[in-house]
Amino acid sequence: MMTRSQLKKFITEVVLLFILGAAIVIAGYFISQNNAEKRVQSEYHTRFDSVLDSYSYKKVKSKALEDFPEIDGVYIGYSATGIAEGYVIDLTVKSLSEQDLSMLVALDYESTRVVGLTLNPGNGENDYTISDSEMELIRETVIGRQIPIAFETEDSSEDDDASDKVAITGLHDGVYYAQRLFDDRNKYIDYVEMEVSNGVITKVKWDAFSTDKTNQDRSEASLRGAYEISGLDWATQSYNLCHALLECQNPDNLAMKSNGTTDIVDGVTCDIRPFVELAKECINNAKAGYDKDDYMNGINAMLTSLYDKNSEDLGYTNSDGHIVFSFEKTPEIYTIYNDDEVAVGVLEVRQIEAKIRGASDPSLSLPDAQDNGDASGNDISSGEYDYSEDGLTSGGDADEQIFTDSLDDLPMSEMASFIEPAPDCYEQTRTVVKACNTCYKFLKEYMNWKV
Amino acid sequence: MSNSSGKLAPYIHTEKSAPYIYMTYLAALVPCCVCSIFYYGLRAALLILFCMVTFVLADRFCGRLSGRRVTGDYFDISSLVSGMLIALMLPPDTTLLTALAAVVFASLITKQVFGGAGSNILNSACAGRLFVELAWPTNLQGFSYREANSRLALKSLIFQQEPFKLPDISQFSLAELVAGNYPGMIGTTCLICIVAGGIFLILKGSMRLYSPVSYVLTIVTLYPVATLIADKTFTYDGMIVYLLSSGAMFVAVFLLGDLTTMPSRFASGVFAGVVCGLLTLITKTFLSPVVSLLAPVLAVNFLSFVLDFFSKTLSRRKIRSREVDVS
Repeated sequence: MMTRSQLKKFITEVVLLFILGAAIVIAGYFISQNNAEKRVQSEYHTRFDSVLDSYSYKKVKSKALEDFPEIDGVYIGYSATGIAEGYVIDLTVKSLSEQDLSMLVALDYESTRVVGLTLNPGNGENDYTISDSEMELIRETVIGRQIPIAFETEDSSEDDDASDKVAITGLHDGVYYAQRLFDDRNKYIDYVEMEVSNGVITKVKWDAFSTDKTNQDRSEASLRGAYEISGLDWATQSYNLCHALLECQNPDNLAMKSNGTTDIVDGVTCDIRPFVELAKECINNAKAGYDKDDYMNGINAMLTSLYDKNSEDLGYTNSDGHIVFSFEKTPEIYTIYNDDEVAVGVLEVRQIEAKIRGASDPSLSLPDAQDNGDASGNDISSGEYDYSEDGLTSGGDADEQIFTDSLDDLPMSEMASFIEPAPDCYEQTRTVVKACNTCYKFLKEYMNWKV
Repeated sequence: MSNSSGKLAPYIHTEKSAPYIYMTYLAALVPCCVCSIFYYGLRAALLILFCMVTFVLADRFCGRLSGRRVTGDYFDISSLVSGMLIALMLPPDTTLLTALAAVVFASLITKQVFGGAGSNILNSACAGRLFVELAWPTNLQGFSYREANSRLALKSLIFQQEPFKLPDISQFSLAELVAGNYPGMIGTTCLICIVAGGIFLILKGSMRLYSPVSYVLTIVTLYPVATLIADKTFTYDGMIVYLLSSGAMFVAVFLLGDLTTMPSRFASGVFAGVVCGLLTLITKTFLSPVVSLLAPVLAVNFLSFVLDFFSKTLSRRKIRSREVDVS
C-alpha cells in the first residue's frame, strides 16, 4: 500500500489536476462560446432566413412545449437593436391522410400574422409531399393572414371574410391614449394606450394607475399578489385581452356581454367594460388623428377650466407621465344629459376639449345626446339591439352569429382569418392551416406561461 | 533463495505498485471528470460516482462468491478506475440502469471471470461500454446539448429520454472541439483535458507510449486513404474533426496506454497500436462510431499476449521484464 507521504503527494496532485482541469474547461468554454454562438446563429440563418429574416434568433424554452409534441422548436427572431420581430415555429403535423408534414411557420411578433412558410426536407417514408408550385399557391393564400385560420366554407356564420370585414378603417398612424376620468372603488384609473401602424392596431396596453401615488400600477400589484381577482391574475387577463384585440382589430368583436364579461377570450373573466370603452375612445381618437399628446393637453385643458392650473402645477403628473386625477366630483364636465337632465352617456376627452375651446372642427364636435347616447357610436336611446354586448360578434343576425363549430380544436369564434383553399390543393392547404393553428394553440399557452 | 520472510516471490521494490498506477490513472482522469461535470452538471457527477461505487461493489461481491481475497491491506483501485472510465464514455443522458448493465458486464464477464484485478486480458471498461452499445444502442443516444441540456437535470438518470438528434459536428469550430464544447460522451470531448491526463500519466511512468502514439499516427496517416475509398472525398478538416470528436484521443490515452491489457514491449506495442488504428478506420465506414472505436481495442487486447510472446521470442535483444520501467 501507499505510505502516508505518498498519499499526501497523491492528494496534492489530484487537487492540482482538479484546478488545472477546471481552469482548462472554463477558459475553453468562454473562448469557444463566441464561436458556438456564431455557429448556432449561422445555422439558424440558414434555416430561417427564407421565412423570417432577422438579425438573430433565440430558441424558446417553455414548459408549454411539453403539451405540443408536434412542435420541434420555437424561435424568436430579433432585430439588430434587440426588438422581437417574429416567431419561427418548426413543427410536424399530420395531413388528412395521416402523413407527416414538417415545416417552418413564421409569424409576426405583434400581430401573429403569417409572414413565412417553408417545408422542411423530408426524413421518412411517411412524408406528406407538397410540390413547389402548390406551396407557392398556399403561400399566396396564407401569408399575411392572422392565425388561427379557417376555410370560409367551414365557418357556420356564413361570413365570407370576417377578418377583413371587422377591421376598422380610417385609422391614422400614431400612438393614441385614453383614460377613465374617474377612479374605481379600488382607487385605480384605467387607461389604454394603442399604437396604429399602416392603419392597423399593432400595440395595445391596458393598465391602471392608482390615485394613491404610493400604490403600484394594477398589473404590477396583481403580479405581486396585492391585487387579486378570480381566475388568472389581472396582468395576464389584461395581456390576453390586448392580444385578442390585436387579433380582431375591433373592440366590438370581443363580444362583451351585458355584465361586462366575455366568453371568447380564453382566461379572461374580469370586467372588460373599461377596456372596451377606452379602446373605442382610442379608435375614435385614431380616426380623428387626436394622439396621446393631444389627449394629455385635453385633460390639462379640463383641469385648467376647473382650477386655472394644469396638471404639472397641481402636481397630478406621475413619474410615468400619467395625469393622476379623478373628475368624479365634477361629473358635469364629462356627462351627457338629455332634455330631462338625465345622464345618458359620457363625453370623450377630445369632445370635452372641443367643448371647452369651442372648436368648430367636426371631428371635435359634441355628439347629439339623442343620436349618440354613449358617444361611441352605439345607439342607446333607439332600442336597437347591441350585438357586441351579448357574447356575439357585431353585424348580422344574432342567430347566424352563434358559433358552434370548431376547427383543429379551436372554436370557430376564435378564428381570426377565413381563407379559400388554394386552387386544387384542398388537402395541402388544410394541412398547412392545421400547422398554423397548432402554432396559435401553442402561442396561446406560451403567453400564459410567460406573463 | 530461501523464503525467510514467509512471503512469496517475486520481491519487487518499486514505488510503482498496482495501487500507485491505478491512483495515478484516477488522478489523470480528474480533468475529464471536471469537464463532464462542467458541461453536464449534476447528472454527470452522479453517473461517475454511481459507476465507480457499483464497480467496487460488483468486484467485492464477485470476490466473495469466488472466495478470493477482498479485504485486508489491498484495496482494488482498478475497480474505481474502470467505473470512472465507463462513466466517462457514456452519453450524458444515460440511465443508471444502462450504466449498471455496463458495470456488471465489465466486472463479472471481463474481469472476475479471468481472475480479478491484473488478470483480465480485456480492458473491462472498454468491454462494458461496448456491451451496452451493442445490447441497447437506442439507450445510448441521449446527447442533450445547449438549450436541451440543463446542469441540474436528473430525470434522464432514471427515465429513458428521447434520442437526441446530434448536430453535424463538422460545423463546430476548432476552439469548440478542442475545448469540448460540443455534444458527445461526457468525458471524451475535451482534448486539452485528455492530453493533460496523458502527460500526467507519462510523467508518473504509468503509461506506455508505444501503442497510443502508433495508434494516432496510423489514424492520421491512413485516414485520407480510408475516406477516399469510402466516401471518395477527403478534407483535412474532416480528419481533424474525426480525431477530436470521435473519442479516439481518449481511447489512445486511457485505453491503449493501459499497462495490464496492452503489449508491454516496444515492437508489439507499436504493432498493436497500428492494428487498432487500422481496424478503427476500416470499421468506421460500416459500424457505429462507438463500436468502431472500442471493438478494435478489445481485438488488440486479445492479441497482446501473443504479440508479446512473438516479440520476445523473435527479438535478439536481451529479454526484459514485463514490469514497469522504474528508471
